[in-house]
Amino acid sequence: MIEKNDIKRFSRRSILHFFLIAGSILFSAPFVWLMSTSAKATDELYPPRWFPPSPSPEIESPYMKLRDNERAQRPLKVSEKDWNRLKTPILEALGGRLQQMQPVLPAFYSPWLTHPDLVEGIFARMLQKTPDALFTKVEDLAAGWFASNMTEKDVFEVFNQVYRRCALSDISFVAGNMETEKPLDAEAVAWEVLEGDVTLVEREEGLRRYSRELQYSFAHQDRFVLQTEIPVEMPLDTLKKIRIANHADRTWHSMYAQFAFAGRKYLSETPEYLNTDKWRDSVWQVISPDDGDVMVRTWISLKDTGSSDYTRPGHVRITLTWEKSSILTALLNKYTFNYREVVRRVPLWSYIRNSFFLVGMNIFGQLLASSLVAFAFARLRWPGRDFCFILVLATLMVPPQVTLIPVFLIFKQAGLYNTLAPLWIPAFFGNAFYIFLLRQFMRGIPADLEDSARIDGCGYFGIYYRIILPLIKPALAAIAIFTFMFVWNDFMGPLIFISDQELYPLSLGLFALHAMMLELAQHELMMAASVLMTIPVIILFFAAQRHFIQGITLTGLKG
Amino acid sequence: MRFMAVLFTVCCASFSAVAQEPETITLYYWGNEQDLLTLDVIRTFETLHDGSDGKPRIRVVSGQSASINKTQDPQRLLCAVAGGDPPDVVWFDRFAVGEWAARGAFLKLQDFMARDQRENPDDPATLYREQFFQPCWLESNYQGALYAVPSDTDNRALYYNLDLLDRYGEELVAAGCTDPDDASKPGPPRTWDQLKAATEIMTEFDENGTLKQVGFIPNYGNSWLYIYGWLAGGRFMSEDGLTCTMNSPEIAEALAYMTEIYDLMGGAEAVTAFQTSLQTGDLDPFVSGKVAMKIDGDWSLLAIARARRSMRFGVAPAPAPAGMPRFGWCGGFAYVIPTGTRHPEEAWMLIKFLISRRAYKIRNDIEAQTVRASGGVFIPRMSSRKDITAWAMAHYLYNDPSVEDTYKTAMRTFVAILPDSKFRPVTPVGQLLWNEQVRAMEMGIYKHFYPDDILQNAQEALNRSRNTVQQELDKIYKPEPYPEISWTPVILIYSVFLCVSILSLYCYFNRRVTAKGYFRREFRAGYLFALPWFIGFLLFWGGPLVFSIIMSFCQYDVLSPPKFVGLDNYITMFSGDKLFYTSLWNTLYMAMAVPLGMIISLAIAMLLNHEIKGMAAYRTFFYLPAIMPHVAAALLWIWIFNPNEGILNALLAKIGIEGPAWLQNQYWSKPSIIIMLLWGSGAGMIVWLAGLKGIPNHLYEAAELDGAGPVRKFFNITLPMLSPYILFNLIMGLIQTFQIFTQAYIMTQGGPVDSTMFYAYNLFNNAFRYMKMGYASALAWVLFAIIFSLTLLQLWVSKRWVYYESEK
Repeated sequence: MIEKNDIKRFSRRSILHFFLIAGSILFSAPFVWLMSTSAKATDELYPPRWFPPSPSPEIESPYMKLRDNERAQRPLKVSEKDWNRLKTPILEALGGRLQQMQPVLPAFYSPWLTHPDLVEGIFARMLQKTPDALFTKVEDLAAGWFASNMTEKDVFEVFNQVYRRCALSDISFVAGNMETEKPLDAEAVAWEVLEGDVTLVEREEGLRRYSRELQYSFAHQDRFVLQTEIPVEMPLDTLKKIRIANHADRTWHSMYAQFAFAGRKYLSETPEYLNTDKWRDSVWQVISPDDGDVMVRTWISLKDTGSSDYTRPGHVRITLTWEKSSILTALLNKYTFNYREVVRRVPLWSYIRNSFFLVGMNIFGQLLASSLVAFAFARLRWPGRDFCFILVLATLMVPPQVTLIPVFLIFKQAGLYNTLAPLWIPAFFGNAFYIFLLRQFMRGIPADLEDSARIDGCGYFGIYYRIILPLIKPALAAIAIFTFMFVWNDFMGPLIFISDQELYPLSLGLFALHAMMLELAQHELMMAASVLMTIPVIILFFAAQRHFIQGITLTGLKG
Repeated sequence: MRFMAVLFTVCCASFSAVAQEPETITLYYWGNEQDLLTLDVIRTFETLHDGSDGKPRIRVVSGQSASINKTQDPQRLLCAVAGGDPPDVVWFDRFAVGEWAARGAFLKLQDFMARDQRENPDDPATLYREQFFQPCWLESNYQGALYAVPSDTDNRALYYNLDLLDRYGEELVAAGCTDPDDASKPGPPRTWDQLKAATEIMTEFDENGTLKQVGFIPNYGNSWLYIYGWLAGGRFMSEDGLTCTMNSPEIAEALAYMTEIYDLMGGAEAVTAFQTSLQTGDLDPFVSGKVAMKIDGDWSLLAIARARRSMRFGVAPAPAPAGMPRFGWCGGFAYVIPTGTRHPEEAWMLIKFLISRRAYKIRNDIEAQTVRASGGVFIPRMSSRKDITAWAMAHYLYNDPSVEDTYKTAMRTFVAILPDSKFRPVTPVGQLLWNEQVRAMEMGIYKHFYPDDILQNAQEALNRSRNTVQQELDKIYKPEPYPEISWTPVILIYSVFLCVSILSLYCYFNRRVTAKGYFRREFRAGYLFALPWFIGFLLFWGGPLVFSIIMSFCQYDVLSPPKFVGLDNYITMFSGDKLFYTSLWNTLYMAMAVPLGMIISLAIAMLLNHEIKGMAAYRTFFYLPAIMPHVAAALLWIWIFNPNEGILNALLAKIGIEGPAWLQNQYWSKPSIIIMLLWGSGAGMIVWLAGLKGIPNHLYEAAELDGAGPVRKFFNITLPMLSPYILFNLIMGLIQTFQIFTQAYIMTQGGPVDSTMFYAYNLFNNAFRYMKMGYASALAWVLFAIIFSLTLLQLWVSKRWVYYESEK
């Protein structure tokens, strides 16, 4: 039989859990949003949604697909009834009209004209200029309006938007002294299919007059390989960058590049994913001092993989390999893409090394100095002690900007500008807040222990080291975490004291990346960088939170 | 021993090996957002100076700016120059060159140029004044000498949407807005009257009377008060640069004209509301036809090409009052060499390379290819050099058959009006003048002073701003004979003061403290243990505090010696500086949120103060916001608050509420930041937890026996027992509020309309942006006084309500 008390306890616990979970969701929502944004692509940011769209690794390309945010949506002022009543007839009318337009449209469009995504895309596009009142009309009238108002321009624009394909275009070469050779037009490049199920179709487009569209299928083979040989005017040993204009189809398959020239073979370090549906310029660059530089990287490094039997003088052999992604690899590739981009683009390891160095020095310094000083304030009697303690508290109230410039000038005079020293030396002189915290903590320790140690002939340092220090471990843990968080997050100090990017800690590196990304408006990369920066702190807090909270709670802030 | 000898020989050998290599000189180059594009240029420069033919090898380290805009955010450069370790070449906004040159922060490049002209007159790299467009050149000169070499330049003109013009064709032609080639067709307005008429014609309201489409917004795109002032024939500074003339009748007329146009459309508030609902990017309001005309820079061509390449539009010089000349306004960047560089010669070589045609071509080739690869139109930036601009426009734009004529004609207009364009005055108060013209413009169009008389209101706004600028100007050009302060005696006095006080204290204790033996040892131990703090206090607190007190009575810009001005800084602060009161009010507004934060964090703490499963995870979730790096949190919330693409407005839209523009709206910006701070209130829960754990359980048991429910227990036991913690949190919360800085710095830069100009941010601005370090110190001391007195007040009041257990 269940006791009445048990029910009461159970219901209390459930209510408690309910509030805790609700609160946790509320408080972690922005962070979840951060994570979710960090896994999106630039054109998936709008409209806002919690889950980043999953990739669709189609095995046949080209194909047609409308993005979620491009689907036809009911205008706010149109009632749901009218919408449901009219949507189907309108789509049918539009489809019929499309068929009629067939002779005017390029022949190439024909197989795709019946695709529902194309029709819906045109519908969505036309909705933007449709008067809302139209939706109160009878079916024939409304559908007729749509069919008669559809223009060729609508079809062209929507087609370009939903038609996904892979294509190759211009190729250009850049020499070590940055002289660029005139780009080679797509029509001058003869691609040869080495392997796989793929055909190259010549296409003319408005924007780019010549391109080769790749019509491929992964149904039977998991990869296909294209190869070409291109004459180059510059001396081959000075060749530095190779650019290939290409169009991707958003299937998240991967593309590897291999180049052979002057008897050497070069392989791309990371694949280029088919992650957009736009034209882009992929740049591969032979490993050079640039890779060791601290600049943001916008190219894919080519590593030298040994000698090649390809020695045709004045020519470069390009081999491009497309590899199929399964749905799992596509998911993995997509959701980790931004993170890998951040790691690839910025010298993250150098930032992290600096941050850890600073964190280590600061924690060591703070623990040592603050505990020593707190011991003097808590356990030793000396003239002027209380007055000095008030001074300690007063420094808490001074705004940091007051002392910023003088402290800067002091370090400058000491010749420590543009070194990491100004960011950790102050830790070895203690911090008012930590001294205050530790003093309170030490005052809670009974004096008996100390007295007996003293009787046994223990000196002051012995008491500090053997008795007090082991007992204040929880408080020290709290201080260590506080210090970690403060140093990890501080970007004002580094901003003022450091000018050399090689000395940047993570916080300033992130800020610098933000400054650079502002132009490119790549929020998702910023968010990925933020997540990378936050995760160590979360892990630390989760692991140490017991000591942390204990450290603070036992302190007691009273009196 | 033998080992040492071997080591020594090896060292010597390696040294001699190094000595044969050509000497390597490292240059530091600070670019800007476009650092990415300069990398290849820099590498080319390095290959040209690789140590062959006996000259030194030059290595260039670039991309160290770490600031969104060095001119808006110059504390790094200021510290680097003051620190004596500046970068060698900096890419700097031209309009601020005068400000820094006046303080001796930049090298005078005139001498380098003159020497080149004397020694290598035929070298293609030698620079001549005639190579540059006049306004770009003049903007880089301060008091007749060259301080910067102008690189890129931009220009502003009127953009108009041809489709809309055609739609209102008849009315526009009737109002005089005709095509210059064909008087029967509508064309862009040429005079202010025509512009006003065209605005009225093309503005549409919906049935509720809110704006649906506007003809022209005076301060949209990039126009500000400057261009209207110039077009009206006004000058912002006198010829000799000694007087600020921004309150001249012509400029007042111009501001009144701007206000009039706003009023045509229902006033500045209505237009701002319309403006904040507009989107950028693909749905650029000019491209989508919501704004028919705008004054904007040539960079806007690129945005149009990106959003809708086929758009029908045109560009014409901005309209002027009838009978006045029409011209553009150009700005842009320049290369400078900060004072104190170790390699001025090499830096000068780098600058000459950076503005050469070759460098221009490398940079633009890369960009052109990227833009063209994505199917866009590449529109090159104008160079300040006439020859490069002429070549580049032909090479990249005019001769490209795939680019529509619209863009070519538009660019030709921009280039054609460049030689006569105006530029911002070169003055040591450039930044202040800029901020004041923005302020005057806002006060003007919002009719802050005299809502009924536009002209009088404009005049009043301009008078106020002018006085602020003039005050600063007078301090620089007509310095009162304030004595300069030298630091040596101050440091000496401080040291002597320290020695004397330590000595006297020592003597005092020796005499007074009669304790011997054991106690004496304890004293010594006490001092020894506290030694780190003593040293730290003297170095990092005592010294700097004395310094900043002295500073607060001085006029000091870090780059030149301070001058003693007495109480001037404090008097200005309380009597003349409106921004001081604005920032104080903003900060107090934020302080009102402190109790709210306390309530939330107490509620969290009470939830977390239970022994149940999974508490570690719950605590981490609640504490998550507090441990997130501030920069990351600020960036995240900018993204959440984004009016169009943010999650917050998307969620509100789901429940049928149209969300505000949050950080971009002057009334919502502070509440937005409060929401963000409340999210971080988990940080405060730790202290509450400490308090809750300290309440003895027997109190609750006794209350339960007396039949008290949870509410009574909370109010009669928990709250009184927590009162010391309430006090602590209140004091700490207040201190933190007065120091709010990162949010304003990263998220809003103090705007909109100064609504997030918080005290600490204002202080920072004065110190680093206006280089008024003395005034900033005074602000800091007032801040300290405020915090200190508020703390005392709270302590005094708290005697009535705080309950200390130990007092029993």
